[in-house]
Amino acid sequence: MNPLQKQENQMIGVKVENLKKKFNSFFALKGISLSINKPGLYGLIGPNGAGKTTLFKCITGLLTPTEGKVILNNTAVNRKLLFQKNIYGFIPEDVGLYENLSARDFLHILAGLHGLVKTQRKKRVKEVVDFVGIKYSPNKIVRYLSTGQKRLLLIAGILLHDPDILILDESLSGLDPVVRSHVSNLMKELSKEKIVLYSSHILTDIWKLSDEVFVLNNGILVEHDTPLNIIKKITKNVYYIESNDNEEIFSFLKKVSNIKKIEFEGNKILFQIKSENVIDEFNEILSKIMEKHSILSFGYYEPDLDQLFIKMVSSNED
Amino acid sequence: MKINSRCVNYSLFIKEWKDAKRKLLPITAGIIIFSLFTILMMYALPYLVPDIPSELFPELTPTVLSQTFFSNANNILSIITVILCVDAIAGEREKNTFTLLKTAPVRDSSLIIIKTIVRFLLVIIPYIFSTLFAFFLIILMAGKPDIPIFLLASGFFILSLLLYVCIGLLISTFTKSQLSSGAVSVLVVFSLTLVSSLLNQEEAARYNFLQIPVNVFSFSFSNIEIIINVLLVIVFSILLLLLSIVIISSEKEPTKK
Ligand SMILES: Nc1ncnc2c1ncn2[C@@H]1O[C@H](COP(=O)(O)OP(=O)(O)OP(=O)(O)O)[C@@H](O)[C@H]1O
Ligand SMILES: [Mg+2]
Repeated sequence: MNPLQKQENQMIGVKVENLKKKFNSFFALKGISLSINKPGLYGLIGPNGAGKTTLFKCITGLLTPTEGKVILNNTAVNRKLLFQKNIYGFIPEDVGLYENLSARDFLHILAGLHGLVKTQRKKRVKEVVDFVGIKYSPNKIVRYLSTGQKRLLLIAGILLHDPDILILDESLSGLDPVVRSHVSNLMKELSKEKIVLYSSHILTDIWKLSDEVFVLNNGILVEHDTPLNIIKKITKNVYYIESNDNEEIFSFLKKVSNIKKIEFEGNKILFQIKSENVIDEFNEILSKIMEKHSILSFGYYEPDLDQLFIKMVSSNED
Repeated sequence: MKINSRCVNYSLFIKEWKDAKRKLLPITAGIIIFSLFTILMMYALPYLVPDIPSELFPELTPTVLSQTFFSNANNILSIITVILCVDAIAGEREKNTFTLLKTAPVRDSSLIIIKTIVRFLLVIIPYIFSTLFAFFLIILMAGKPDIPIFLLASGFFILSLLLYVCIGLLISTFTKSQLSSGAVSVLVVFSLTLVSSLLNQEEAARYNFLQIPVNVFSFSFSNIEIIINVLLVIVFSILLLLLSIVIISSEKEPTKK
């Protein structure tokens, strides 16, 4: 199965140490450090211009960092080390394809460019095409493929050399929901054995898929945690109650000393609890309210992801 | 993990060749038409400018026709060659395909050398056809030209095409788009042709390697002189190739447009 005869149990990992990248006088990355050392799905989010693409290009050696270093599977990234290029597979956000080739030729040439000899190539291309689920004719000319078909072709292309680390820059954008969920499933499947590091602006995907999320803003890594923990951190113990007697509940909550920030959002009342033991406090408040009013729904408040994103990014602006 | 670099290089060659192959037929047709045109032009000239007395036009011997063919080829094919080559790297940058090569275990030197070889083939195959065509056309119109000299001229011209390919490739490494590399190459080739025609006098003409295919019809060269000229072209080509490799491998952001 493995065409390049990789050693088993080889350590896989991406390590970035104090990475800085300066364009002219502008720092696009201002000292990024991160370390990933087990397979999984790692999401990178950040507003436009945050430096996501720059970070990916530094990791893959397409850009030379101004300061700091990147280590892939134990070796520091160095453009002269050819074997390193087979450690990762990279889909840049704006990659072009060899438009005049057929899909089959494209994959065969890519396989060859990564060192797969002719005898292995045919088998490997078939394996990858089956895995990725390319359904269209391999004779189709790349130029005439749709965006989604091209994306699948590229994913197949970077899997040919069976890399340990996959880096996908906005590979979910521009896809219809069906293809997007197909690609997400592929990524999930791949992340069992490989490190899949990807950036996306589609926050629901990031939150649903990722094992860990990195948040980049203005060239600084502002967050790194599991999606759930990040949501908790940002929302900081905000609960909601929904009832037909919202006005009265609202004035009741106002009198509770441990509650900060009460606000309406649609039919819901949101409130933040400041207490040592938030759960107990919430239960207590809830039971007091239930003595007088009937409640339609209540719970831990998970905000709209876009709102969360804006909050996260703007709280770091100052 | 050892990379099988023969396989990598072969695949790169195939990729380049598949791309070049599509241009082969139109270029061959174009250059053959060009040869036909240059030679027939000599016959048409007296009719096109009737004011000039016909004695002033040279007699159209096979040698004169051959010389005309090579001199026109020298002026026009040189620029076509360079323009055909400038998309080598700049084109990949422009179409964003350079990342595919830069993230594959392809050595910078192999990249440059293979691209040079393929462009060279792309240029010499049409050229050989058109020279054959010109040769038979000259026989048909005026008689048999001096075959050893004709061969020497075409051989040398093929060699100088290598130099032009290398020039095109070098330009391609440091320009970011095909348009700018095209503009730079026109400038470079015109200045080269200008300098080499200015230098084409007396002793300098003997080592004016860009004009040899024309000059062999005017005066004879000793073997040593031929060898020195051949070496000059080869050395310059290699220097240009090395420079291209150095530029490509020292770039901080190779995929930048
Ligand atoms: N080659 C370059 N020269 C100068 N500035 C650059 C270059 N590449 C990127 N930048 C700048 O660096 C910053 C980060 O850019 P980058 O492309 O990494 O952002 P991004 O997070 O990928 O954004 P997006 O979500 O829009 O893709 C931007 O301000 C951009 O203008
Ligand atoms: Mg980007």
